[in-house]
Amino acid sequence: MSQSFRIAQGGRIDRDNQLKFSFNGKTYTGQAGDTLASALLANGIHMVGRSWKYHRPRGILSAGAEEPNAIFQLEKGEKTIPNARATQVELYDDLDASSVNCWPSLDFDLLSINSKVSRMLPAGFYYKTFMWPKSMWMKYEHIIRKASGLGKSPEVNDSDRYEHSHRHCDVLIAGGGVAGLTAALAAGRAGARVILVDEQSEFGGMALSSYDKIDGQPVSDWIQAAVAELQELPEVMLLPRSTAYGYHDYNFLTINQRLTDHLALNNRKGGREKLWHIRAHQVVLATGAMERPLVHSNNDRPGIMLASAVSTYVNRYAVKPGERAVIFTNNDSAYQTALDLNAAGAQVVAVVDARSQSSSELANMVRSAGIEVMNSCAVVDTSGGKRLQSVQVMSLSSDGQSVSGQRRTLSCDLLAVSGGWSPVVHLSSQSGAKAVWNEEAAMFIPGEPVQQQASVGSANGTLELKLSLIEAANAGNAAAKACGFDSNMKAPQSDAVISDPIMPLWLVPSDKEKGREPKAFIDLQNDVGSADIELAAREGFHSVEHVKRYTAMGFGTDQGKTGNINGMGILAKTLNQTIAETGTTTYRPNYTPVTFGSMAGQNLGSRLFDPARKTAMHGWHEENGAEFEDVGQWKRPWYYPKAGETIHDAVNRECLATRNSVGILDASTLGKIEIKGKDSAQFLEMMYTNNWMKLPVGMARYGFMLGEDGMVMDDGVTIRLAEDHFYMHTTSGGAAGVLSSMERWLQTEWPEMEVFLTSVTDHWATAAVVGPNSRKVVSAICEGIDFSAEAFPFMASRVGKIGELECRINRISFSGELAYEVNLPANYGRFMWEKLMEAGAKYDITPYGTETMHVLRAEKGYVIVGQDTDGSITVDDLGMSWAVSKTKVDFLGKRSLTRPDTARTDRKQLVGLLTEEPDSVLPEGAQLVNDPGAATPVPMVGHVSSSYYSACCGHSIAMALVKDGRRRMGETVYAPLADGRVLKATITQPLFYDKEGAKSNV
Amino acid sequence: MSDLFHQQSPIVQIKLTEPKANQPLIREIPFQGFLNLRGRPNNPDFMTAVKKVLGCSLPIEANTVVVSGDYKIYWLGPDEWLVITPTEQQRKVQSELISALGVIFSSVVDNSSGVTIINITGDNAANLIARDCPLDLHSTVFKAGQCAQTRLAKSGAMIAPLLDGSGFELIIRRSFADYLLLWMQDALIEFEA
Repeated sequence: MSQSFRIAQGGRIDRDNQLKFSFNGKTYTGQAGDTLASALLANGIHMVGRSWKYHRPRGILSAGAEEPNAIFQLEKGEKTIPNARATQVELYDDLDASSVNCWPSLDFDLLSINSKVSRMLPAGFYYKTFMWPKSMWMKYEHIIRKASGLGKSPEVNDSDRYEHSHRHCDVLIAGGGVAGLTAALAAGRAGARVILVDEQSEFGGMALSSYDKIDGQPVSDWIQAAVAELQELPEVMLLPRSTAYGYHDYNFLTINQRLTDHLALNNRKGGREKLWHIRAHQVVLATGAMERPLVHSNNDRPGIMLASAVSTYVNRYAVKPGERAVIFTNNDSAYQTALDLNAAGAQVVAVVDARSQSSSELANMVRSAGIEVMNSCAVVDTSGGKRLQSVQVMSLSSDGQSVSGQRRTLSCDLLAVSGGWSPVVHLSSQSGAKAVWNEEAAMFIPGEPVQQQASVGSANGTLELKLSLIEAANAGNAAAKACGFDSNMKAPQSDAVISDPIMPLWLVPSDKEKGREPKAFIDLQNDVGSADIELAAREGFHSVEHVKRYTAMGFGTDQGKTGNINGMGILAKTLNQTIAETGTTTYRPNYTPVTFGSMAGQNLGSRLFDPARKTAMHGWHEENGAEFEDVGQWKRPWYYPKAGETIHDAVNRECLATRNSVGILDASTLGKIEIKGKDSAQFLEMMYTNNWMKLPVGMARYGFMLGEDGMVMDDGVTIRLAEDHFYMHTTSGGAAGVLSSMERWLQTEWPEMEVFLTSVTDHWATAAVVGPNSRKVVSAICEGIDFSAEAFPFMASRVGKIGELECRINRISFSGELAYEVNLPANYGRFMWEKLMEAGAKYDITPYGTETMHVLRAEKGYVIVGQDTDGSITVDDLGMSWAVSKTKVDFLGKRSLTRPDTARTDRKQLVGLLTEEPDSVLPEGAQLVNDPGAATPVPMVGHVSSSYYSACCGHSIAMALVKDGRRRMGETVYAPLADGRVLKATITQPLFYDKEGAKSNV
Repeated sequence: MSDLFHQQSPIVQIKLTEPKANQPLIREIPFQGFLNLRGRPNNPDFMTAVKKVLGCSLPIEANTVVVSGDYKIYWLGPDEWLVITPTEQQRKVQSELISALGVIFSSVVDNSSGVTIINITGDNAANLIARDCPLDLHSTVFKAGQCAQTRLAKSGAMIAPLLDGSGFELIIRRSFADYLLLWMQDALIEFEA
């Protein structure tokens, strides 16, 4: 193993388990327990990418979720992952990673020329430059996309499986550092249902990188014991490798768990990720804090890292990120990094501290270690190409606004920076609590909770361990108590640490003339510099939300986790206002990017994307070669092709067979509702537009239901089973809506009506037997009914027996043929269907699907609600005003029918269309015009709603909605088509077959 | 009755397999009698007439189940119940209810072919359902004797913990049953290792 920057002892890596990995095509080794970032650093690799605008060399900045630079493409093909943060990728054997944003290679990047001309690429550059001429944008965009962008989207389907689960709990704790563990112990010991979520592979958070003590023992021992205890508690669930990425209303959180990403590809089994939907009574946020970088000239070179990240690499991963380090800070915490580096054998050249004095115990330990502490100083510039070589230090004024004196050059290969800490307020903000600026600590802290939630520890701005543990224990106890558990856990003990206060320093002044100073970056991922913020402010963008969108600060995969607060500080200063006045941009889900796979889960493919509802005869249809059509969620047979038949052939055959002998259609999908109670007829009077009071028992009637706007909402046939008992059919797609609409009217407006509704859609299987021979077929299997035309007329309903089973036969027709709908409970649906097929064999009974059903009904001009209507069509528009009572006092939608626009006589009306060429079938949806040669825009007079080739008529037929159509019989309209053809058609009555209606009247 | 022979379950196209590893057991209890009963619980005549036939009072507490001999009665709404009977008793119970209720405002509707029962038992029964059901299924919250109509995998289901604590009873609609079983079979994969 080379790993020449690996420290000989310590760390939490497994030294016995060496792993190979490849980075940009070259092979390296690391150890189990490494992240990809720590393994790269162990091999001395800092430079990992190019920035996306200027293509400047960039290195690993952080050790966590905030990483802006080390963004890689992992693996290839079906396993590829774009934009993985190397700081959070657990190393596994044979991992394959490559840099994004460099072309043709990381070392030699052609587009780094952008860096040389950066003065010509200010904020808003793309908006300003590429918008003129507008027509060229598509061309520019193509080139810009190649030059920028992060990872590449996968080109093949993801082969992984993704799981979903829902959970409820008493207390959800986000963040498994010592604060989160403490809160979990408090609530868990009390017996509460606790879920503890942490994004890392092991619990402990930042403490895994420290040598603190809790309850007198090393913090790592305390963590181990705490986790072991939690694992034993039956009502506690631990979710490691899980990111709580969304905090929604009603304490609903979304959490993504990575199940297998840490394993070598060939060792992965089961789902890759699991999306948890968790609803919690109480939420404790212990999400920690993130360190901020400092904004000085050339602060983006590889080798410049967050001080806390340096400590993490040294202490947790046993990696020395450099041999000669300079620390640049404005607060106490980075002094610990100086000690950590020193202990690891690296040379710490100096601690450059913006503050005029630092006299805490920690600072003095650094001085005692022989490390130079330079107070009232700042790093004003750096040098180096693909790796930091030196930093320039000058004296800083006490207000932090200017530098003076000589530049002093410190040679180094590592600059560890700390600009203070930002509590991770993302989840608290998402929950609705507006972050509050704390001037003294120079940080946004969580606002007053608006949900059942508390923030603790660093996430609450409480950086000191001792206080953090107290806060966490209190929050855990309180959360458990709020759920009814007695919880009084004492906080674990830790020593108090006294720190000197932070000196806020948003922008390190430069000694160069304003406008001539080298770039000082705020947002490393989006290449936003301090000058861009100042420019945006000068150009009038004062709202922080506008500045964000103008400069792109805080966009990208990291969402500005390291840069945003610095940017807001600089904006505030530029606008001469406080940071509190400037405010933050909105924190929205997702905290870190979430894969599409995780969101989709197993809701994929034709089986599981959407429920497929099936009838009792579905198996028969499949076995007999049916093609299926989706009608709402139903799978309905569309047509039944015989060998060699096209859909056209099959439909022609099915139509002719039905009209000439007998056909059979599965009509089970129609909605069916039983209506019972003494006011049922009165209720139907209100729901339907026509009269129901005098309908005799055993007879059926067709009706329209309107919305309150007077437009057709649904239609169907309803049968009177008894004086107080009706059986309603709805459209297949409208059943659920009609039932809930009727139930709503009964419950909210007419509670005095004695009417009960019950859906029986799924209970009944229905076969429509249609055609001149239908009577012979149905009467052959059904006993107890006199099928003669006199005894069983059209629109009548009878009960009989098929074998020993009670069946209901309705003489209803949606084809203009003699037809019977045969109903048996659906458990007998297939039995019934096969009996009918058997009885119909001698008449060559032909199963037909929805396509033939459509043709047959269109030949008769029968409408389909939802096809010939679209929510803007009245009954009169359909030419069926006979179905609207003129005498009823009221019915739903009645009032709207007299609105001037509804009542006018030249609305779009249903007409028939016959094409000039009998074989040309108009496309459904085609727009109709009077004069295709007219100047554009050609006025449109209507559209085709239904159109088919009718084998029975020997030519194409169509139904259309045409303005003032009923007065235009015999006139010509044209349908200009997308392919350039113009079809000519004559307006007719919407009735093409058996115009006298003789066929159903037999 | 001989005609029972001709029945087909809604999941006739699904092949249920023996559970592997940690998979829960999925079994259909087909062909039960299901009666949808509606009436006003504040009408003592209605309540008395029903009690006479079913041998117990209708549950009026929301989301509860009452067992009476061979019958199970589920609360569906303030004025709606589901009565489950053994297959061969459905017609008898239906006609007894109708005649006992007479002119009392009520409705008794046979829905025996409209739904079926799926029992899910075993260690991961709750976890299987929780994959796509927003309900809190924890035993301290959702106890035997309770029932709930809820969303399950973009469909609907009535879910009730089994009285012996071994898992859950799902009452699902016929037309969605095939889809739900396909969903369950896919969901089982999570527990096969």
